[in-house]
Amino acid sequence: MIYLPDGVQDFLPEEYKFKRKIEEKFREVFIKFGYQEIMPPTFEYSDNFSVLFDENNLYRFFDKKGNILALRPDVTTQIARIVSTKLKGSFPLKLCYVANVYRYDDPQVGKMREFTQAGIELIGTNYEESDAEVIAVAIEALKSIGIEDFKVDVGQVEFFKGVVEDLELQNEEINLLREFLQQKNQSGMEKFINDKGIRGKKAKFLNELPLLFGGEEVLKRAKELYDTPKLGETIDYLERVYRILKDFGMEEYISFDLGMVQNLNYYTGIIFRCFVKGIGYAICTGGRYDGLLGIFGEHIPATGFAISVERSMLALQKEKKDIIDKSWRVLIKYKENLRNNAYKKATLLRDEGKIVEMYSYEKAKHVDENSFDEIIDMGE
Amino acid sequence: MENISIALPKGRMADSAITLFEKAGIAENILKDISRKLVVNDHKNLMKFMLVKPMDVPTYVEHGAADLGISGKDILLEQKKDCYEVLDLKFGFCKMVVAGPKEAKDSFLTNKRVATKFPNIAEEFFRQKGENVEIIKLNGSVELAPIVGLSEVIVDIVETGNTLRENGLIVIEEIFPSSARLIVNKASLKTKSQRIKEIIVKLKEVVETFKEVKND
Repeated sequence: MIYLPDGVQDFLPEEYKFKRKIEEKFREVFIKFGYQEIMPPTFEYSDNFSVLFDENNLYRFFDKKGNILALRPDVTTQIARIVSTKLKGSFPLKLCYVANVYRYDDPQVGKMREFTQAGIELIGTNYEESDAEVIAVAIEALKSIGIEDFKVDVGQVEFFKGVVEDLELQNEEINLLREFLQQKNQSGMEKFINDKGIRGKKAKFLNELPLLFGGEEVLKRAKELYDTPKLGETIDYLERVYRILKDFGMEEYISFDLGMVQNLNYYTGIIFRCFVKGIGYAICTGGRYDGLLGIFGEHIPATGFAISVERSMLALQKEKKDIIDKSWRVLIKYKENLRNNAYKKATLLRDEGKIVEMYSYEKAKHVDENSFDEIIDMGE
Repeated sequence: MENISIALPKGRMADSAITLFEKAGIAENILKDISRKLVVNDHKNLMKFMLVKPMDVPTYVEHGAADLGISGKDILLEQKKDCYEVLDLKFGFCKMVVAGPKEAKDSFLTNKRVATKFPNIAEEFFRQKGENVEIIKLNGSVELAPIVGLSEVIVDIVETGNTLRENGLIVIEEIFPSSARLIVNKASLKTKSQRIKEIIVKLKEVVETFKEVKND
């Protein structure tokens, strides 16, 4: 077979160097913020994932005993399992990873079936400081690879829940409403309001919800509109997080979207997505998931995010940024009786961080000398 | 300020869409140019219009090759692309229906054959009814299929019903009504939020005044 299946790809040297560089930069930022890298297995029992992921979206297979296994669709679920079973005790716990994940979605540009996520999880705290820190790490990570023109779009899932609570709707209707909101479908929203006979303030609530996105002013507008104590509290929380990010000097990157609802249903508080200008899709998603660890037996709050490495590569290509450091390449040509000296010389240069290739005179004839920055001739 | 690009579906819908944009005061004098070119720039209003196949509009918008797009609800439901569907523009009305010959011919086939340009919609519709069918994907002239015995029924979009009648077909069941929608790329809405918000508000005003005029 010379073709690859849909959704996977080979990374050839140039491209892979680029990818590795991005992963290294992300890892470096995470570690400098105090996150420790871990690595769960590539596959485990399918049951661990099927609580949260559609089974049709998992790569599942049997082992010899007939157990159903699955390739991991994300790492967060695995970390929740690890923390609940092996790492409980000293909180806050700060973990990070760079790992391949597998989902049976239709492959698209920058969205393969095997893709690499770089992410962090901050476990055991639920203060606004922790939500702000996670967003700050995401911003620093994107900046570290040279992405400048981006927005972190912050929402709050409790907000939608609060709005819906007052309306006494059936589950089906809530799902319909969520769908309209997810699409920012104002016409659908209006029709829903009319059909349900919702009037007055509540109608205005819903009507404006799809448009409640933008800068800081959105929070002010939301406060005027939604003056119930519960909704007020969720907005206050966002404001406190924003103030921290402002102290970090990051306000230019932040926007808000109070109509944001997430696809993954484990989120419970602040959620966010990063968009780079010119790239049509979110390159990073994250948020608070206080309920996830509970599934594995420990009720511990947590928050985190994952950046798509492939989409970051795409973003850098669009911004035409080259982040690979050019390393100095040396060719040593040597006469065979001087091989010992040549190798010593090569080791010396490699210790200086240079790339060194050695060829005896005879073999060096076939080497493309132009591809080297420096040629050392050890003839006599 | 930066350009906002809009993908329009080639054909009748493009004209209505451009009229709408001009009424809303977001674009000028593009109608006469767009029939000749694939891309028309309105430098004054910083807008870029591109004409693409109706089925391709959601793709352009999903990937951010266009910030906005005008697409029929039928196509959006068929393709389920990841973009915002913000407004019902209240033109390009039509219906997605199941249609077939006036007198259904007896068939020994257990699985009904359904010819359509919208295989996903058709599959979903019959699955929800609990009916096993065989979907036959066609790219046009779907009405022909029952006539020549390629299928028992069709799932297709109907505006006036004339084409169906002319071919001796009747509507058996309506699936959903469709009209033109304004769709927005998810990243563009956030990275160019001010301008796009303005456009949405202006278009909404025009759509609503239109509606009132029609109702009078």
